[in-house]
Amino acid sequence: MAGGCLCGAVRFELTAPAHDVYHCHCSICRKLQGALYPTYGVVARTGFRLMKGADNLTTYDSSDVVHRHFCKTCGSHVFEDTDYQPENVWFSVGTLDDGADPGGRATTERHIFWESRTGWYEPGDDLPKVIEFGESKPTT
Amino acid sequence: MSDVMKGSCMCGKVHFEVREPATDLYHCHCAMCRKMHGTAFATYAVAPRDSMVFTQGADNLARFDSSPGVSRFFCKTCGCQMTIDVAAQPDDRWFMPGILDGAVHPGAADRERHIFVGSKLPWLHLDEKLPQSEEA
Repeated sequence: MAGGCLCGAVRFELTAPAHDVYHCHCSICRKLQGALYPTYGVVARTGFRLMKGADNLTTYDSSDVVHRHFCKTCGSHVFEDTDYQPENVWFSVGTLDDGADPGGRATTERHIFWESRTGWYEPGDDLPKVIEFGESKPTT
Repeated sequence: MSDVMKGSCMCGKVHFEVREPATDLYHCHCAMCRKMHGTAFATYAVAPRDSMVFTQGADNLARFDSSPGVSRFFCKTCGCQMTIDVAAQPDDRWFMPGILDGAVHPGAADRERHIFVGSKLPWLHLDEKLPQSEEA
């Protein structure tokens, strides 16, 4: 699978499927990507390769331990790193080419920080909706 | 709705107010909007351009023209997509209701719909109560 920002300055490849996929409704994620709820895939760092545009990324630290990388040219949030899981990379599922399925959804797809949702849009699915990270709370 | 809506990017450098309720509201599933936000779909509200005012940090916005006449503005510091100006519709301004403070409803509830559903993520489940169109 391959993906990138809208303008094409930043490109990446995945050589492994995501092992975790979730939709995040927290206000930090909403205000970073200008959306009702961003969707993230988590992949082993060994399965993520930044092919192009490392020098065209701006990093914004949304907390002391979460580092978000977006394209300087078009603003697309492409991926993020965390200090608490350095072995993983989080990518923005919407940046995958051709609407590719990130993988891992069958067992992990869920809505997190459900308590922070806008409240006026209901996704209309039967996926689990959990408070904060649910049982997958990271060590922060 | 008569209250002024306020919103900002994540880092807080850019703040805006919307002083009239939105006149349109939709969720766009086109490939361009998905990549722009890095999300499964993008949600936009439209307000009269005069009613949407940047109250802080307008000089911290970067502009990206995603197509001729469509200018998108995002915060240079945190990358939050904030507004869109369309040259063909100079009286309107698009904004992202997901960044309104308090997660308030932007207005135009009777207009809420899904567009470009023909391009949507094949695996994404949509709220079936809302109208859908294949394109715009």
